[in-house]
Amino acid sequence: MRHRVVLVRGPRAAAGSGGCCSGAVRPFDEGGGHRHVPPVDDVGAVYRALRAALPRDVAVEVVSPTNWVWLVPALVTDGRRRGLRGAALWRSVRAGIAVESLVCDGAVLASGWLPAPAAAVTAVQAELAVAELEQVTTAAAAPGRTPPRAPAPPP
Amino acid sequence: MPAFAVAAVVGVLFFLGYRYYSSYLARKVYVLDPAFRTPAHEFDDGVDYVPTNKHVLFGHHFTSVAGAAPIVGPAIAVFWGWGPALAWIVLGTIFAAGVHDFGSLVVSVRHKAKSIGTLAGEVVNGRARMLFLAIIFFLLTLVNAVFAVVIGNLFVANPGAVIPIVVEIPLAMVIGQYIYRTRSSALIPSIAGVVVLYALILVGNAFPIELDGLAEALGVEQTRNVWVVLLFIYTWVASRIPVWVLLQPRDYINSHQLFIALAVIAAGVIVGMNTIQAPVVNDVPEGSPSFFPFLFITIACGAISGFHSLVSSGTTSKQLDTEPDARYVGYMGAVGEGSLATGAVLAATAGVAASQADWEALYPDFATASGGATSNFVDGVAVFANNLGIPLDLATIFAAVVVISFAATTMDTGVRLQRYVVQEIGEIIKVRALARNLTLATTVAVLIPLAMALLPGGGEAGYTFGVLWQLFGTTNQLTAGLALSVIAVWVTRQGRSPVAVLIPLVFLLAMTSWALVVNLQNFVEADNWVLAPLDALIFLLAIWLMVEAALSLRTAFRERPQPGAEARPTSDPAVARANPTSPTDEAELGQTSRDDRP
Repeated sequence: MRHRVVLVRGPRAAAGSGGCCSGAVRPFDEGGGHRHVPPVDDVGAVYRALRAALPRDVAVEVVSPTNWVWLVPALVTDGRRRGLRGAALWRSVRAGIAVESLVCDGAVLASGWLPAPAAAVTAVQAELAVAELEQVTTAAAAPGRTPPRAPAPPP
Repeated sequence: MPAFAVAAVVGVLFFLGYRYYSSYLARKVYVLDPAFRTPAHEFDDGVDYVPTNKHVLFGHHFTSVAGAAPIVGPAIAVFWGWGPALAWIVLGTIFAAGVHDFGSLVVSVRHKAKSIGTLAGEVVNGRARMLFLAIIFFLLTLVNAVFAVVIGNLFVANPGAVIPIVVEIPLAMVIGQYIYRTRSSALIPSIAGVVVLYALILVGNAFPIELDGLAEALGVEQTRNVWVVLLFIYTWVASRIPVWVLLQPRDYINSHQLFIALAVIAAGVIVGMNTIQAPVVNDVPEGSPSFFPFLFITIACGAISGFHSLVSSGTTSKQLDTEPDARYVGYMGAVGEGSLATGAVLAATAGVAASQADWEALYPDFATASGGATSNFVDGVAVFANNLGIPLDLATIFAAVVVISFAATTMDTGVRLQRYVVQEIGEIIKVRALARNLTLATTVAVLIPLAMALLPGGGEAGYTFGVLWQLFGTTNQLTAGLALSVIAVWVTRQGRSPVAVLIPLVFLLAMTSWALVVNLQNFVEADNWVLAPLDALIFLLAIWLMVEAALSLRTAFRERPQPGAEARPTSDPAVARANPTSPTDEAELGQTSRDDRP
């Protein structure tokens, strides 16, 4: 995985927890007379657009805002990889864990609201292009190393 | 025996189970295929069906299955000694729960991520779906009754926990509103919620709330029953409001508490170097239930729990990225729950008593043991927390708050699910009012478990709870039996050996039936004509399950592909019916059958 885009679900997304014999369970969804939790989550449309537009080596993770055990270390790792430290890293992580956030390689592109799917795709592609450019520049600056090939333009 | 040494040995066994047995299951029984296109990819909608990183999915699965039940069962079962209780937790986790949780996830993934109830109808037959509905109805009734009694007992024993738990309700609602309106992070306000909750322990300790006077004024013999009635009034309201208002924010808080409690148990055992004071095998008084079969009913969650199949096939299977991830998510989820149960055993044997005589005073007979089990867990965890420098009185309230929070959230969800079941039954029997009228459906969903919780039982304060818990265990094991029979039929139809699935299935059904028969005999002899018919009904469901499972397995054995034979594109009629043209149907599954050949 070269790049990671993280989408944090909305405030009403299905949550886990509650303990054995509760949890996010809907045993009668299939074949049941009624659907208990309607699938309303804006993250879905943004996710589908991103998944369709981005190459397969870009991981797109949809995460519940309650899943801090994974989310916080992931945001810290990605932020540090971008060179963020101290207060800047804290601000980035705090913005990233908000509901309906869009984070690309540690850069928080949206926090507390999600852009329209097309706008989200544009923002992520721009961020990825900048990241690729930075990689090329860094590699070229390092003596004795062959710079990687520039990314192919999107289809 | 040092508690830390026991925990280390259990940890090593769990590791070996995951490393070798789950690997065997993945290669030979479930034959995981990295190339299989999971429903998360096939129906990828970004909402329910999302290919999800296995570590992310494990977080969801584990927090959904771990809670109060793996605490309560082991805390009762150490009555038979810590040896049998721990042996069942370890063997049950490795050879039963792992097979069950992992298997129900794989079978659901192979059937478009359908729920186990629907799969029972498709893989076994239509009657199995009715059976599933009936078992779930009883399971939820008993869950709600049992947890109301657990909370009632803990409130009576720990009046200092009342204020934190009661204030947690508006606190969670404020957090829910804050997150919803500001659209900010759930993490920081929920951590703040945990801090406020634990700060309120100081207030609760200073102002303990006891309802003895109210109980006396109302003429109620047991104060616990006043709490039970209040709890059901609360859940009647709570189960009718949207989940995001209260249930979800409280889940946020509870998810932190799960990890905090596990960390406190682990660190407390290491720092305090407590030793287990209970006997390995307890010489129980004459007339007590024998550990064969009741141990295997008393510890359900923590060894094997049918409820996990609902989670595996409900939300987890819709998010599985690749099929090999099922091993990590499903099997490791069972190991996580087993670890919590192990912590409960240590708390109720090493933490709660300073000597064997102290322990025997807490577990003199089954009635006292079952009635005081959760309090013993609470006191045990309090000692572990005390090892870390927290004053004992505050540590006790902390542990009570953890258990009550889990149990209360379980009740909220349980009553809500029971309402769905009542509505579902209303639709099946065509009683429109029951299906459509929320007030009526919720009232029915509350009144049935309330009646169960207030039953006089055998007359002793703790006896009702012990019996209710065993009935809960049998019903939970029946759900597990149903899921295992679905898995066994599917594995057999693939032409693989179902032995790994049949061993826990046969064992569970034998123990459940045995326990039900013994209980039925006891209820009839005691002229308990409320519990006796209920027990008989659950026994009939067990027999029904065995007949259905045997018939389906016989058919599956006859139809199973012969080794070396060409894979039939639609060898599984159920899958062919459910999935006539999909690329993920048995045309691909047939290829995995060929992978079985040596």
